[in-house]
Amino acid sequence: MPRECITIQAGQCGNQVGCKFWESALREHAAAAGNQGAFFDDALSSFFRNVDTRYKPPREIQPGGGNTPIMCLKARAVLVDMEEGVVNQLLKGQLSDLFDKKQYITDNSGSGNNWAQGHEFYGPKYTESILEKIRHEAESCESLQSFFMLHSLGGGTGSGVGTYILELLDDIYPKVYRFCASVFPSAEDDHVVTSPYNSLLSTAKLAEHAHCVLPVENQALIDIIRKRESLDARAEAGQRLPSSITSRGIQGKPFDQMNGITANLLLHLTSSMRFEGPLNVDLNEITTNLVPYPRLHFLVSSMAPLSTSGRLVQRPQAINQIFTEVFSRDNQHIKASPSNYTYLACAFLMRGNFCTISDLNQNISRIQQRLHMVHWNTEGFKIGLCNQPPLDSPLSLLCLANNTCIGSRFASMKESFSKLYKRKVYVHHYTQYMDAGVFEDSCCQVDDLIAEYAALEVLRPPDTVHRFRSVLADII
Amino acid sequence: MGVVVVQLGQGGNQMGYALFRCLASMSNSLPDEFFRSSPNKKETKARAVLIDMEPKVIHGIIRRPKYPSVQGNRADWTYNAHGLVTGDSGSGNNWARGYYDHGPQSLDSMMKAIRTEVEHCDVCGGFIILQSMAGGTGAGLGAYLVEALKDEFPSSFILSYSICPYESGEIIVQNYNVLLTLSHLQSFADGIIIVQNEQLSTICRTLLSIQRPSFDDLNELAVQALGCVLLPSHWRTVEPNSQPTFKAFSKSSSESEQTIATSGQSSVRLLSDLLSSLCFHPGYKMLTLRFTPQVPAQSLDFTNFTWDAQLKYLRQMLITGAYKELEMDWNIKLPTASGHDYRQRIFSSSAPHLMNRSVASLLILRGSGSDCVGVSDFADDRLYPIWQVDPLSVASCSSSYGRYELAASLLTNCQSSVYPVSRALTKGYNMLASKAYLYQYFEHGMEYASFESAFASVEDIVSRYSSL
Repeated sequence: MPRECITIQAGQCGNQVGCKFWESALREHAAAAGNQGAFFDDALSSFFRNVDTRYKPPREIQPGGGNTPIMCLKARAVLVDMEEGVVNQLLKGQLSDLFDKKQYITDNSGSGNNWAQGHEFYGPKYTESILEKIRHEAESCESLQSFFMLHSLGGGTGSGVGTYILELLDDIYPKVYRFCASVFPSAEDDHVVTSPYNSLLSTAKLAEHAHCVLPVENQALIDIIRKRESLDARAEAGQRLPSSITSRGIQGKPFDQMNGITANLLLHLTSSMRFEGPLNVDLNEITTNLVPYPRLHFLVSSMAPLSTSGRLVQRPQAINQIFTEVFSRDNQHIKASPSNYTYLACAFLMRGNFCTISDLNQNISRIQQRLHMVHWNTEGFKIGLCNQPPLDSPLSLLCLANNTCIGSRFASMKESFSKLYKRKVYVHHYTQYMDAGVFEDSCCQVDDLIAEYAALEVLRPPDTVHRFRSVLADII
Repeated sequence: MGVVVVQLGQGGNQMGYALFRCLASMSNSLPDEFFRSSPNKKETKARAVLIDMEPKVIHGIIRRPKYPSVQGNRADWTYNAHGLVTGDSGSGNNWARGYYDHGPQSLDSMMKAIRTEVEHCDVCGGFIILQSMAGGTGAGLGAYLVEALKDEFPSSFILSYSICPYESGEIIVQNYNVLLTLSHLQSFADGIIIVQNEQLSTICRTLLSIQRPSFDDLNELAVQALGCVLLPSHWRTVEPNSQPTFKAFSKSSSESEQTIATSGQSSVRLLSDLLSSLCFHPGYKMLTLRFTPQVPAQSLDFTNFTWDAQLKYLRQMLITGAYKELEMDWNIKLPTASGHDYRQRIFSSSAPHLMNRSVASLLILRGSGSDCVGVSDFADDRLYPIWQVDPLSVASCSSSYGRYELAASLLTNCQSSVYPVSRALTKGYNMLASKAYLYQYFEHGMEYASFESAFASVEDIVSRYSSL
């Protein structure tokens, strides 16, 4: 039976991303089921439960041999928000059947974009309730493998309550992997004034309690969408667009599409767990291969192809092309350019049944020369191949890199934090709920992180390597 | 005489599936060592135990067709439904997790399945372990299982067929896993066949005109060589048509002497004969496998093969340490003077420019004329160390090998097995010095001392071979 994942969506952003994720996951499984009709098989069981709603309480149906018909699918998820609007909308919409009463927690007044209110007030207030709902989900799993946390770090609930839940999970389910898809606030365009505080405080907690964090930046997602639109328009029009259209920008922010990208990232990450392939990559393998030191678990992600209207042809050149694209600055999910920094480890997860291991190897040997890898891991590449292509393209590549460029993002986050903290603006909102020392501690933790990444950036190989000799060497 | 094949992890299971398909299709009847009829006599089952810590791969293999679509006979066989051991959570490429966690947990169910298969054999000739050395289950759980097997069946032979990953990187911690696995296999297995994905891939691309080989292609190529060794054959002498001399390797030498006297041919007893002729010294257990001919499947019917040509290629492959027939360095010849210093090459480049020395070789010839062709070139003294008096064993079988009119497989205990290992050692030291990824191994109960001893024992292996 496959390893189940429980998704925990915290805060407005987390819930909206979650909504998009569930929608795409259902469509993907429906497409994979194809003509055989929909059965509740192992692949579906990793994210959904099958219940028979004719009974009260509804009875669980196990995947069995993969031939059980689907009665009513419920998502393995817990939804948390301190104000009701988003969750209510979700429950009234198309996905209302996916969730039942036992899966969400809401309150009225929101967290006021205050990490401390989320972490120190709402967290403890709802501890019992949260644990009960998570336990309910965990009990219906045969072999729970991981928790996915979807949240943003700039607000109050997602960041505060989200990281509080992470600590609880570390305590109660220490062996279950904790993956976080965390939306970092953009440096440039951010309407939440206290977001530097919230993100720094959360980052300190993430460094300590998460197994793996996939940071995503709003600004990067917006740029990806802009680029995608211009590529699409160009492909359709077949000519150069007048500059006025491309530079017009987007009215407001296209949150729906941005959430779509994050949802796509998660789907891609878990595709090998859900579908078959010649070289499977499970989540625990991601951690084993990409996290050389326990605290350095922030992975920079990028995906290719960006635009699906370019009609990717199934030829080896297409594979070469998307390999090159995935390293371009435009495709990264955070505003950084990993090619200019040092790679500690890198994973390539390819979806699509056209690609073989030799294509991947050839491309890796080609790209290896252009990348700066840390000296002890010059062939640090992890490969995964899954047969099931994504919904909108015959081929797709996800690159997860443990790269020191994230240190520079943390440094700029620390800088915006210091600008505010020097003058102690808004600090009184936080000290209502917590001790001012927490600021100092988190600052230290993030400083340590930045220093560790910086040290790896400049690391040089030692002159001599000590080799071991065993006792027998002299005898034989 | 039955041999139990244990398939471990994703790599091992995919390779095992290819192996059984090859064994079934390359001979006229299903060989008794690897297949048995089920108690109700209706089905033929493979003597195999499939082990993996996640269920997907094994379930996929059970569903795949068992008869090859292109070549050979349509011989139907299945896997024994009770010979499957699966876990839920996978090993996450973590050797320590495979060895310290899954090993003890699954020991009972694994040994039960293996014991059942052993009981179905009249005489158990030993175990063949198929594994990849780079991952968590095949490598870690595999190492644990080999120890347990040696414990429970101390007089049985264990031959491991271990896959070395692409050096450009398949798994980041592959160097650690390879070294840890090898150090355990060295202590508990009797013979270790090292096969490299990279070599197989090169052969596919350059000789078999498969431009973009998939894992299935690599596996099919690899099992051709292995199947040629494992299918039934009988011993013959190095010089054709000469009197058979006493061969000191057989454990049941009296029996084979008798059969030599009467019929002139004794069949190769699987695993015991192979391993006694090749791995008689506890310090030298690493084997390599070479196969000829290497031509694309579609050209098989149009190519003329002669023993002279194929054996010439095979011999040069042995001398240079190459695995493919093309682009060999024909300048490397046997030295005319003695006293060559071979020690430096192991630690130098990956393209050795000196001769590949061997401890012992086993040559299996299949096809008509295999009984009479002269192979004394392979027994040349200069290829072997001074203490080796009888370096070459030859076996043959006159029936053709699948669609190959003639085929030859060379299983050698030689230096070329150690090159990928020594490269893995260098990279492993680098990573170990920076303490990268170690916390994951320590979390499951491993200690730094285990790394030290594993690295040290692999150093020993490398230095022994380089001093040949």
